[in-house]
Amino acid sequence: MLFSWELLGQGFANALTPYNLLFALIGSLIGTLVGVLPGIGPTSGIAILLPLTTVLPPAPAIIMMAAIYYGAMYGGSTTAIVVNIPGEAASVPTALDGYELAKQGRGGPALGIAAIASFVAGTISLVGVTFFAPALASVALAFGPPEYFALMFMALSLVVSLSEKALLKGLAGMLAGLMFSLVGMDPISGTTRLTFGFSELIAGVNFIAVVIGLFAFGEIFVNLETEITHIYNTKIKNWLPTWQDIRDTWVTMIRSTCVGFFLGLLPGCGPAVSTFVAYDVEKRFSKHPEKFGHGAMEGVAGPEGANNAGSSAQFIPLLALGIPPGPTLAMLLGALMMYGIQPGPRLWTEQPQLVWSVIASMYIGNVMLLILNLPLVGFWARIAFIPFPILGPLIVVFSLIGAYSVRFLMFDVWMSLLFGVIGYLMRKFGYPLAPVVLATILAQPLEIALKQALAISAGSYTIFFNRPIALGFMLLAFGVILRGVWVQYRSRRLEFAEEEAD
Amino acid sequence: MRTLKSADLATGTILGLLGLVTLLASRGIKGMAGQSLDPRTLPSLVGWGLLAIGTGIVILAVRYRGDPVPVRWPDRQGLRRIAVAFVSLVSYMGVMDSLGFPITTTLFVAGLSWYLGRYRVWVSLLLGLATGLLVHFVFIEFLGLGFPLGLLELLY
Repeated sequence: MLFSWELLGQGFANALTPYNLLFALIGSLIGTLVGVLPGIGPTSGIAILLPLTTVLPPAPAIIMMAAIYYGAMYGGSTTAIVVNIPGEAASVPTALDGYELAKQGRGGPALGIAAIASFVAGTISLVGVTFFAPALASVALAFGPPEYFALMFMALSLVVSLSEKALLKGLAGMLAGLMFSLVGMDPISGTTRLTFGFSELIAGVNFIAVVIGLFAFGEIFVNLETEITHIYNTKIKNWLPTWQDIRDTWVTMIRSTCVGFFLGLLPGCGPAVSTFVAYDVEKRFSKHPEKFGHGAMEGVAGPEGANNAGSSAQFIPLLALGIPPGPTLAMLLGALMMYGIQPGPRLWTEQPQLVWSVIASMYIGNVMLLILNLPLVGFWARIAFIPFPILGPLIVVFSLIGAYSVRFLMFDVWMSLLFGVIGYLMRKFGYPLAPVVLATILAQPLEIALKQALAISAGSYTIFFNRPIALGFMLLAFGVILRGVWVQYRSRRLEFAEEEAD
Repeated sequence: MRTLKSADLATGTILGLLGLVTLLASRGIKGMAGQSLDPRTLPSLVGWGLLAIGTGIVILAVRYRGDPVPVRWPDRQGLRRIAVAFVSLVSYMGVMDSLGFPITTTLFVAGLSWYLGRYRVWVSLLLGLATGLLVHFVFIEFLGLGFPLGLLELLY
């Protein structure tokens, strides 16, 4: 499984054939479109196109499906920035600042920075995949259930940061998100929980329905309050990012690449986790953390960089170990096995042309996506020019398609409407939305990791503190929580002091 | 709930009640012998957490002595628009199975765009029809997604 320039060269030669280039382009286009549509993610995209790829040889089929995957990562930020509707759960942090920038007339630069950050992160992480895949695969193996639980717990502690001044309300949102995720069947024993006798609730509440409801439908209700002609009327200042925007964010791009890459290596740690972690990291490193949530360009570059770095890194456990790190790559694994290809260490020695062709095509795909998306920035930003009486119903229709296409259950559609009402009221009463989403995403993997860890340790919780990696994440988590509580306490004391002085 | 204080009192109470309901419901969750973590553990913890946080929000609201912060509710027209949109959505979802996704999409987009934009009827109908056709041919025919066809099944 060693790197070889000759093999990489052959991979590029193969990937650059017109036939394979065509399928890389098709995959990139479809992936971008799939990413733009709320709720229809790369998993659905690959699942829908899988039957069509059976007529293709293995290399172009895998190249196309890989392109759909990372193309969707590019596309997910578009609606998040332009209309505050994340195309993917991983795009939720992007929406926090991207939409604020769009309201300030800087939607074009935000989209441009998202594309550039995705390109930079995607390319750098591919270098990691190219040269260090075997060594990095062993990092993934070092993570067991205790480490996963500690990582998820640390990610959950970011609620403190996401809640800003409304800590109690943020925690309430987190707990409500956990509660909704616990509805349905226990993931290990299959016992039904919190269903109150309703058979429809056995299927549980899907987090896509939560995201679509809170962001898409909630935003529609807010926009209906006044008779608006457009979702925002700010004059567009410029369509592309300025050199200042790039100077402000290039360090962010590099840093978020590292965060996204290492978290992406870990099976079970989805892109959404790395984007939230990257957002928090950038906020802590920023010279102006107060701008986050109000239009900080780093708040767009960070999550988007992490997203794309993670999506490239996820190919390492898949190709090197045969372990799909998430549902989308599980589909890809299924596609490989359809062709009689078994990913793992032997794939690199038995079918090196296929492996290196896929890796080479990912470099090319990244360039394609940048070339496709940068000129399209003006097109996407102009979505906001569509009169709201037309745009609003269209957003509803596409959001509904997204909610329904997850499990083809009307239940998910009704849930998204319910969460739309909840999201509207949360906005009215000052409850932050991001903690609900984060908790909904993390609840199940957190519980599964906890149960598995306790099974290993025969019920002892010290397992999270006597393994170094787990201990490191637990200490980080407690540090984040304590710091957040201290900052809250201090700001409240200042407020009380000011009130008494008045 | 005109002020944030009254809203916090209400939402804190609701959260506390939600916590209580979760706690009570978790008592009925059946566990299995030999499990490392009982299935009712996490729901119970979440229930206690909601109860505590809800109580905390209520207490902070009661103790608040500053100037009242108003909740910005929409005016009557705004409420009417939201109500119409909500009823349209419920109707859209309610008849989707029987009429089919393309037809209900056409009616929904035509109706809501006409109401919100006060366009001429034929403009809204055209928009609705275009959306319905897009949904049908792209998502149902080409991508093969299993949306309900409803009345269109008679044509197939």
